[in-house]
Amino acid sequence: MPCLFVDGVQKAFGGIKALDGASFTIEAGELVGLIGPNGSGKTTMLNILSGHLAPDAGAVALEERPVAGMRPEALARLGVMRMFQLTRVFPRMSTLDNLMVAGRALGLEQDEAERRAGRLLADLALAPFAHLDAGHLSGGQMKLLEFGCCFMVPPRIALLDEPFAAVHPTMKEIMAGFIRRRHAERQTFLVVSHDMPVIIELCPRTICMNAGKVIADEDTRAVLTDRAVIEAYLGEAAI
Amino acid sequence: MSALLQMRDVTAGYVADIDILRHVNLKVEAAAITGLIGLNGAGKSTIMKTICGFLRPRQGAIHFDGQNITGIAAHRVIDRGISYIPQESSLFPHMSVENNLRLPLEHLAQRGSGAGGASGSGVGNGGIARAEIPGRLEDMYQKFPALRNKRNGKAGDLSGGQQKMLEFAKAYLVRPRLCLIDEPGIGLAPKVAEEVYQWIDLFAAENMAILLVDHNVRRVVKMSRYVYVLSLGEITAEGGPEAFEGDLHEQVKAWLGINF
Repeated sequence: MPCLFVDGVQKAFGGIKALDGASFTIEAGELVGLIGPNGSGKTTMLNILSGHLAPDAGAVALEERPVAGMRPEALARLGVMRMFQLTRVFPRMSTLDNLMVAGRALGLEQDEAERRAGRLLADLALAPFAHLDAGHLSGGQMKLLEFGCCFMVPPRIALLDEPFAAVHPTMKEIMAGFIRRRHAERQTFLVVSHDMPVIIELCPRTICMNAGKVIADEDTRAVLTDRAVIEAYLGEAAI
Repeated sequence: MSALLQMRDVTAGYVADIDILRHVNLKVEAAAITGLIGLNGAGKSTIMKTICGFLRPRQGAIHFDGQNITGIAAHRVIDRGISYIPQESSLFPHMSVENNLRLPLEHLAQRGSGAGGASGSGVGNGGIARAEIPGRLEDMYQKFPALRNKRNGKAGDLSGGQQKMLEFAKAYLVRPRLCLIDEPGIGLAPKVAEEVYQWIDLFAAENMAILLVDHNVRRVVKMSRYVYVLSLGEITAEGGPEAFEGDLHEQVKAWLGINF
């Protein structure tokens, strides 16, 4: 039973087909990269998977349950967690309290939430800032905090949109290490990134999209040497 | 020939500790198209924002027409003869099409009449006579006829393609010496996107210098006299179109950081 099943998904905005019949499957415990040139449909795909958009056509199933068109909060309760490209935390609450809010909102008891928040603070190198207002964290630390909030209750699938963009190299390493460790514990990830060296290092498998379609889906090294993929990055089919 | 615009050793970023541009050296020659290519996140738009004064470099200098414009106030860029067509909209959506078009002209007319301050006049577009406005608008409507019927409507009610046309028309009206054009075709239907490149040809025919950012590598190479490649904030390759002929696959892999 696949963790996530996406079949023939279509989405148009006016005359522009952002998704034009995209299909793929992700098994539980996989760490999959999602790449493609600007405008290829990656973020639209994530928006559909997280319920922020409904597809015009096609099917999305989470562990065989049809979920296309479900609201984001319903999907979050089913374990679909989305980390956005732009970070959002509660700036006037402490780092620890941000984690507690996420945990309590997902139904954890106070003690359990505290225990998990403590582990995540250590895991994400945020322990020294536990009692600092989140608004005073650096951009990279805020991103780490948002990471932590997504993992208070480990999701069935974590959808990460450009987690490494404009993040200090040290933070990037902490984030990559976190993803690697969780993947070793069989956490399922779909990671959108333009940072190919990180994709190569982290993701055994990569999906490449162009013009709303999946044009390659296999072993990361094979995808990144596929002529169609390189051609897509030359930009011809994207307009 | 000395360049119209020159960036020397420019390092810039939006927040402390993270440099988006690192030691960028780049020249834009007068009356020619200079292409800038690179992946998403490489810093292409940041180069444009830094030229326009939205971002002040931490290091390095930017010269335009022999004058230092490093960290110039963004609202003064137009007085130097620089226009910027950003990837996102720069229109006032609740104002009419014609008022959007008149805004920069009114500004330049005010400058021309001396009311806009005495400093810096006489350089590039440093002011026009108010009497010139009707003629410029008429000439623009001939070049962009679709806007004439829409001139009393709100700019925000135009289609995506028409809004892009309005952006180009607005830049055309002020006859800049340098126009910075960022991903002009993105988000437009293919047929409309083709039209965008005709407007760029129109600008080039008026002898404007153009710095063009576009994700279509082969098109940029074909249109440009000189091309720069930006990777993670650094210029990693540059040259005339001949340097980018033939099989670009190995080059693209290098830009992506794929070394196998």
